[in-house]
Amino acid sequence: MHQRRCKVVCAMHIHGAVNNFLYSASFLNPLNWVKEKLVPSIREKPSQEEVEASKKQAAKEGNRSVFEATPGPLVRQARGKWGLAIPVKKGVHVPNKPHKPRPTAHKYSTANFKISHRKLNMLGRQIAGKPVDYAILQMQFSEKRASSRIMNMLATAKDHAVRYKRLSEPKLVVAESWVSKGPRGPKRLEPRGRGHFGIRTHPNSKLTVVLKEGKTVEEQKKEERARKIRKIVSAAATREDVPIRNPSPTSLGAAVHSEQLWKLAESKFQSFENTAIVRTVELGGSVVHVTTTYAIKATQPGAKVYTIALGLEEKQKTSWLEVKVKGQQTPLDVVHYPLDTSRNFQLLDVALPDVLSLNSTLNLVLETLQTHATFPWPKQASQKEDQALKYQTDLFVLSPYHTGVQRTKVKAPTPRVISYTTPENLQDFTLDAPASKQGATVTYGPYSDIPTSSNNKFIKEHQQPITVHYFHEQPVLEISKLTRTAEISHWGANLNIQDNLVLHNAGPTLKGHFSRLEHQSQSYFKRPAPHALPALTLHLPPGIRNTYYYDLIGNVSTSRLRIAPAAPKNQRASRYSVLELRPRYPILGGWNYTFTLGWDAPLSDSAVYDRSTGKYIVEVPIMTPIPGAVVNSAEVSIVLPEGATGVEFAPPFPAVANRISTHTTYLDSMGRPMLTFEYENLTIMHAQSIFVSYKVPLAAHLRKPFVVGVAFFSVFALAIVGRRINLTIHQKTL
Amino acid sequence: MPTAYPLPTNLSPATVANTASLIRIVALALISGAAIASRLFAVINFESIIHEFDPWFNYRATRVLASKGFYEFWNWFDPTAWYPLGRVVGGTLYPGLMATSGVIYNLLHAINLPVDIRNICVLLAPGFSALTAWATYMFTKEMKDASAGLLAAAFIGIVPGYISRSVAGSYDNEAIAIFLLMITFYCWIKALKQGSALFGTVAAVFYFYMVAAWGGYAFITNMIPLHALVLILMGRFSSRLYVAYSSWYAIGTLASMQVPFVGFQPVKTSEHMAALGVFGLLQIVAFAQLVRSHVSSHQFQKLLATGVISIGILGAMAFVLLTYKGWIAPWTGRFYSLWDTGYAKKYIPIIASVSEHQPTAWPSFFMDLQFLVFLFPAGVILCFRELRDEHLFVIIYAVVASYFAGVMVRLMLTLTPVVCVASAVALSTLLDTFVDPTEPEVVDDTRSESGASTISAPGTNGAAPSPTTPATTSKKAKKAAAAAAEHPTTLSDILASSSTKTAKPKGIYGLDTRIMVVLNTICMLAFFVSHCTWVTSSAYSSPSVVLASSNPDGSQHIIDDFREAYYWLRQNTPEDAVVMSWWDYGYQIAGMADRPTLVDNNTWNNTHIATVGKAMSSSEEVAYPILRKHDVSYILVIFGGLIGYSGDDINKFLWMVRIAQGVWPDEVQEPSFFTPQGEYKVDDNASPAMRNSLMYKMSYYRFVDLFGGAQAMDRVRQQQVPKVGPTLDYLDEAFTSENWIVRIYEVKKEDSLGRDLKSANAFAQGKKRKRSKPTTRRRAIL
Repeated sequence: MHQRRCKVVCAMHIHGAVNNFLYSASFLNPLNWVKEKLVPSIREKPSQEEVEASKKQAAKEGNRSVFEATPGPLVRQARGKWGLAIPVKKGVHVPNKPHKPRPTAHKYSTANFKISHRKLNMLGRQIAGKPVDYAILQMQFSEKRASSRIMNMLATAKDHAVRYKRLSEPKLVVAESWVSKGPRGPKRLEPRGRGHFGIRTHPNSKLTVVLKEGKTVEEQKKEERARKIRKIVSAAATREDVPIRNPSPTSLGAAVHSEQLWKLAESKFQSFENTAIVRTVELGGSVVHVTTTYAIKATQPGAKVYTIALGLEEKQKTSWLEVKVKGQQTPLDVVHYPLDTSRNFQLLDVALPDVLSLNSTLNLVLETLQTHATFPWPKQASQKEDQALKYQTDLFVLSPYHTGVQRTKVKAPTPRVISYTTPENLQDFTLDAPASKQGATVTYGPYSDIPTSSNNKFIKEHQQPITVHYFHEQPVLEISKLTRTAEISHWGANLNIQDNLVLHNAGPTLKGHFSRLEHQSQSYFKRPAPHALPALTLHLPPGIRNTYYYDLIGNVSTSRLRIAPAAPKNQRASRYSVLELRPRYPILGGWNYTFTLGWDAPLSDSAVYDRSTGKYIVEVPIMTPIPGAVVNSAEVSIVLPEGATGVEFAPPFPAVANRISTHTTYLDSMGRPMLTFEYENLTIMHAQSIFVSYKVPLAAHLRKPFVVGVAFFSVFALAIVGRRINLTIHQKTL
Repeated sequence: MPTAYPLPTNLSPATVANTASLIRIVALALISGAAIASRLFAVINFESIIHEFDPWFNYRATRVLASKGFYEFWNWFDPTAWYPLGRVVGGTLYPGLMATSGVIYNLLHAINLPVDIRNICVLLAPGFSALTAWATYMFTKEMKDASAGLLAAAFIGIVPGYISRSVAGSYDNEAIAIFLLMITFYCWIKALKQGSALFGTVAAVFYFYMVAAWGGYAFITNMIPLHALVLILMGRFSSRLYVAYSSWYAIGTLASMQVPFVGFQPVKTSEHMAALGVFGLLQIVAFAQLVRSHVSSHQFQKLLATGVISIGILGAMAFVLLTYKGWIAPWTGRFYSLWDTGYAKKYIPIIASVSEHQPTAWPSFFMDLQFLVFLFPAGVILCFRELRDEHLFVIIYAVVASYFAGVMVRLMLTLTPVVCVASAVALSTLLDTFVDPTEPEVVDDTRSESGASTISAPGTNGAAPSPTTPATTSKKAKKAAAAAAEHPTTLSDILASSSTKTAKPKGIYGLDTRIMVVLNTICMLAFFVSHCTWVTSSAYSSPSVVLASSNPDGSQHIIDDFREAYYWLRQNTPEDAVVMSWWDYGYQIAGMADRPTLVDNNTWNNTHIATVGKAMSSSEEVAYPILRKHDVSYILVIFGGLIGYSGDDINKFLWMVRIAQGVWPDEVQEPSFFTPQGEYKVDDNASPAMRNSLMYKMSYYRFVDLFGGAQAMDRVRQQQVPKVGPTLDYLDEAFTSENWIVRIYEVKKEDSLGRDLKSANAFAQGKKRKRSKPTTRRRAIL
């Protein structure tokens, strides 16, 4: 409520008497609501000058807000003898007290009270390191006797820290807490049975805490989440907060220069040496995460382009690829070589961030996501059986450079690996066991002293496939087809997104038939079949309205939605609306399910108005990330408002095809421009946004009301004329 | 003239008229709003979904019409219905409903309003109910006046008897038919009153629309001739009647023959003969009138005698001859069942098995009409008071419709409009009498005569009293007074005679009586509204595709098993997989699962249905060849035993048995499905025929296992199911919905080694073949 009131005040200042829209008044006055709804533009933030100007005007009219009237801390208006305001001269220094170093911590403790230090210490350990509010919360619900006292102490300490030391309240954490023993009172005798006696002590102790500014709960959670996300390959979490780059398009025009490029490339190949290559394959369902770390060493000075080789099959499976310097966040630019079918591999050039001098080293990390890289084996499984998948890849990581040592780790989701290939004929590279399994990880290598491998000769002689057969405990999901339509409406200030999905369970197909009894007993005993998908959790944007989930025969009544409130302006959304989406029936191996999911989101959450160019810029997400699923083909259509001109778009990665067409709907007279993008093999990493910018002239905004109004009036006019025409043959003489 | 309460005097008649017409328009608009709103319970409580069974077919046909165009729809042959026979859909349905939705759909899309065809279908019935209210208003206005019309419109807008067939989502022919019924009757009355060929033609056009929309058009086809006949018999023949009837019949009949499903029926079948006969009679009577005006009366007598006798004999002979030659269809079974309620049960079990063909129970009259039931006779009696031509119509309509409503539940629908009209007439007469501020003058005995004559006709103090009424009423009043003086029969007579000896001024004195009566009436109306709302929301707004129950915390829990199973069929079975189920679910399977069905709700082929009934009621070995011959891939049964859904197939099973018995009396016998005590049981006492039947096996397959050793209980029949459940050799369980309501079984293909499936199963389970048994046939049963 407080925030809303501020908004009102701001709005009054900004628009003043000129433009008297109130945000919250619309809740009371329907006319204002209508006005607000009918404003065709997105409200943009006023510039500083405008704010100042309107403030001045408000002051002139004598209706400044109370917040403006309070004098600022520095520009205090001195009052003269006669009560007249004396303007403070510019440049006059208001003397301040000498600066003390700003305190960073606040220490506080309870008084000694009657408790054992051992008992108290448990509470001390409990709150140490926690944010202070969380610590207070813990104490509030703790069952220990001392907890209420600690809670009070914490509350006081927090208050003092904020008031006296000016520490930031939301950041306060209990940095340290310790217990010290207090003075012990006189001991007492405790009579026991059979003439024995014991000695009772009456311990005293106190708890001291030090409050410091630390990480807030949000920050801690964020870190925790980031840590977890880093671990997860394909399960239920989104990685939307990682900036994503995709390989730039392999331009067809470049084919002319392919031979030159190859020659150029081959001349550079000698300038590096791979000290070590470590490839980690994290197996999943339909998505496999491969991380390859190249420890490289420059063998010539001035090297700045490093070349990576991918096997042909690997390249085809790879749907997303990114190269970084280890430990850094910014991805490096990657240039694909034109595809050459005579060579069994594909090369990529990576532009290094700095020029490497002779013998200097660098660690490069290549991250790829492979889709459709696994297949179920056996191909059929009954309802009671497990789900096993096979993954196949090449043994050696190809490289155009000499490699010192190379190792491949294949990590299965569980230690239950059924089998793995043991490669043979590796005497040239290793004398130990060529493959070993430990826990869930199968390690191939280390293989040392590998010559330049990106040539057909090496591939023919040494390259061999390795297969890992493992159990997978989540259903393997595929979206065979995703059709997304995003419709932008300025009149409704609305962004409607509607997805049509064809969901397919790509796990082993169901052997025999589906038995409900079996399914019910499995879910009763909490041992669901690994290939059955009973429900799916999706993260939708916050602040959405009118969410609908239906299929070809009507509403699906089995889903649940928890809507998060919209994020404040200019802040990144930290929470999501969670949709627990249950299909009509559990989706077993090989089964399909088609459905439609849509929602309305406030346009202001995803659109801005650029005043300098007069353009709207709208952000439309390509897909809703579905954990662990791959989208085989996607078609994203963006319907712009009627009469939009100057349409430009910036997709985050190039589409397979895109086109612009006209879409006619909702009383349109000329249709709306519609952009369509087609994609293939999208994964969770591709859940990014397309940015579209366009202009809408005022005439286009007013076109629809005008057309509808004219139509209505012509109907009335016709009716008026029609009533006055007499069609009677015989005029009655009466 | 003394008044009971002061009236404003400074109003010009124009102001009053304008205000009245504005209030009428506003009231009609509000009534329309109420009529639409009260039908939206189903959409709000559930969703925008098509209800029940038949609407699913209408919806599917409408989708075809909307997506492929009218000609494609007209020539639509549906190979997936009545597999393998197929159905010529274009020629076997009333296309009015679909055409209406199609026109609305195309209209909206022409102005770029992309409304989903489903939403048009769902909201068509509420929309037309508003039009019905308007048509009823016009009709009743002809009977009495505008205020009665408004009351009738309000009644028909919310009366449950009509709502039951027109809630949102109930996309059936009746949705538009009642509007067409009322508007046709209105045009007929108008044509009759004015002798207008134009209104006769308009009536014919609406009659054509009605023929295209609903099989119940036969009601109009017989009501209007009946009215005309009664008018002739009462000596009320006039040129107005002649013009109205002739224009209606000629144009209407020719138009109705354009509907392919009707075709030449209007001149062939007996249901339409009355209309034709009255048309002929009218010509004769008109001719006779013409002749009479030209010849002397003696000659006319002779002419009449010979003419009537010869034409009568000729007509009867022609009728017999046509029937004998088979050009006129014999009377259909559904027609007989209208006269003899026991007929269907004896001869056509398939008609009797439909719940809406059952005779109406008394409570349902009250449930559907509430206090209108009591007002209705009063309104009919009030019609006798004036007895103009149109009042005769209402009286005939009331008598006929009351009879039919008593015979069949679904015909309650045709009764409802006339109940509303008659009740509105009665109630508005009552209100007119008691709201009218005129007080009888306190007169001396000498002047009492005139006073009585002006006041005792409460029906005439409306806008335009007809010139004849005062005379007739005063005559009546005299007679009544005379009768009252001799034999004091009623209380009022006694009171009247006790106060003064001669005829008294009648009327109401003072405000208290007025207020009491009016308040009482308002209370009744208020109760009526609350009753209608309650009945609509609780009884008539359930889609029956979706079942609602409530969670322990009071929130609504939706049981969506039907759609779950249908959608599974749609998504995970081959597109040409034939699904067998009892005919009730045929339309739903076609609409939602989009799979071919053996039988559906268009019950045109009794043998085919009996075949399904036989397959369901016989043992696996007998049923299997039937299933294979019909290419059946899946069998769908409805089983409510787990959650207590009483409308399941075991409860309908006896009808399947009866229908099968009708065709194969030697192979299926109803008594063998009862216990020796004559009870219908599914527990340990169930008869062997019952326990071996396919239906029983499919319903209870693995049901016992669900209880994990405890005694399995069938919640619908409240019986304990045998501990050892049935086994299936020729079928496989393919899918069972969440609450076990829908169970789908796959029919196994023949064994690849040529064994019969029973022994193949036994072999697979490791059972030894018993030597004592004769060797099984090594040939597949085809």
